[in-house]
Amino acid sequence: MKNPLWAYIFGPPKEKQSMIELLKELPVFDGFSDRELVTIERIIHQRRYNAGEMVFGEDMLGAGMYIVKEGEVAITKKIDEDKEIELALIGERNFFGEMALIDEMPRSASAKANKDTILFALCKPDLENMMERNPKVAATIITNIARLVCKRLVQANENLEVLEKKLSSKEGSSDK
Amino acid sequence: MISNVKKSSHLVVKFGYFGLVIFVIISLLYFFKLLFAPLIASVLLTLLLDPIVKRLETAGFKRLYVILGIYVFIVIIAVGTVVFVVPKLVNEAQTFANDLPQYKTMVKKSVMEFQKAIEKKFPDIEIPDFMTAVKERIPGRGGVDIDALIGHLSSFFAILSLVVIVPIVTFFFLADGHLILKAFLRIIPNSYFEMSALLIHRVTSSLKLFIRGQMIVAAAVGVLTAIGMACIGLPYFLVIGIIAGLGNFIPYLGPIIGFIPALLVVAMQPEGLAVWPVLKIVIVFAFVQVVEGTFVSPIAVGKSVNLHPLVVIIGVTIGGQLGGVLGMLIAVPLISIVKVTFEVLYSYLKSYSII
Repeated sequence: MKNPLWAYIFGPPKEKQSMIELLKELPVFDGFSDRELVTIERIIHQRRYNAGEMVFGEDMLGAGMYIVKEGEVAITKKIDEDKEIELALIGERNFFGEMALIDEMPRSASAKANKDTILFALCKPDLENMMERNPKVAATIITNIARLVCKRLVQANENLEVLEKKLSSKEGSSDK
Repeated sequence: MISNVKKSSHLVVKFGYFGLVIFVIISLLYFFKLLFAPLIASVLLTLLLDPIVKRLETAGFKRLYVILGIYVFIVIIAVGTVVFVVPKLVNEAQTFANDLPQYKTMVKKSVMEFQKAIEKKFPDIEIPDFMTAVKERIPGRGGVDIDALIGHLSSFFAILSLVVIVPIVTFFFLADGHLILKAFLRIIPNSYFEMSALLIHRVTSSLKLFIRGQMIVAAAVGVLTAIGMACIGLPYFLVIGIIAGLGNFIPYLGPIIGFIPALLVVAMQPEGLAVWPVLKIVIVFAFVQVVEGTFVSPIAVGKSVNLHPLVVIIGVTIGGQLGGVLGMLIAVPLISIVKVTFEVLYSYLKSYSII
């Protein structure tokens, strides 16, 4: 028998191995040994979403962050009753919803799958559990996330600077 | 039009799928209803042991070895209890059985003296014969039908579930609980995934705190009562301590449950139901209650569960009718667990605007 019955209940071993290989490629799980990745794999939930399906809605309590394995996710925010703007497009190997890992707050924006998408979900309770059981691995995950968020912040600052320059040059030309 | 048809067929498949899942779960529960009680016992035991496992795991031990270590420790304690404590309890029970005829006369004497004292104090009031009244109220040979109780407890499945199924299931819950939870979350639809993950976490953490708190309080009350009874020189202090500890699972009625056997033991003493011995056990019980209420409960349980006295009385009555003494003991913890679960469930469903 290739796979015993219980393997199908708890996830076939082959799928587990391929998931570990995938986790290795993700920046969030950088610097982990294969053994540590096995521990991480245990707390990762793989979810499949159809194109147009909601991952989470604005103002809902967030359970954790998501990493895009396949597909694309649009982050949108309602600015009016029937108008919403797209804040970002999250592609493969990128993550979103990380604020829910830090604090139990309502989601600040919505996330919707743009195409058929596979996501890896990392839930706050599981990470908290890991902090107790395996603090070194949990601390490395959090440091990696913080590093990537910092990179995003630098990028956002640069974008803001460009926008401000554009705005001031526009104001300058209109003053003339 | 086409999209509407697609949507409705989607809904049919969705409802069909969840209908099937619910049907399978209910069928399994029905056909394996005998497994229901051991499963609940295993879940409770898992919730009790998991924090200990986690703490030792944090210290650097492998989870599997920690669980095996705890099992070995439990086996050693069980064997030690069987070897050292059980003979003592059997001895106490044998002495009690041998002295029973003597105790009967002593209790009779105590009750008669008590009646005479009351009649002396209130000569105008007609007091019915206490002994006849007591005899009328006690069915059979002695209140509780011990044979039937033993019959219930020693039924083959009860022993099998206690000794074999509960430890095995608890072992798997402790070792692979996260995998079972992960498999469960896998069948939850995407729209309820986050809510379910948070909900399960909240409910299990609240239950862990509640069960741990109740166990600590029961142990503290049991040990303190036993020490107190030993200090005042009352025999069977160990048994009274155990009864008081177990009785503590029932709020409001707990202290009375522990007090009655102590009062009976006092009545069996040569001096009978005299004021000073009774006052001594009253002082011990009052002291234990004060310590429990002031120091132990606020630290161990906090304000996790606050049941209305009426709910407790109704729960204990129904528990007693359904499962006798055991039913009475289990009723309040079970109601408390259901209450904690529903409170968390309600607050979460509300935050997700489902209700």
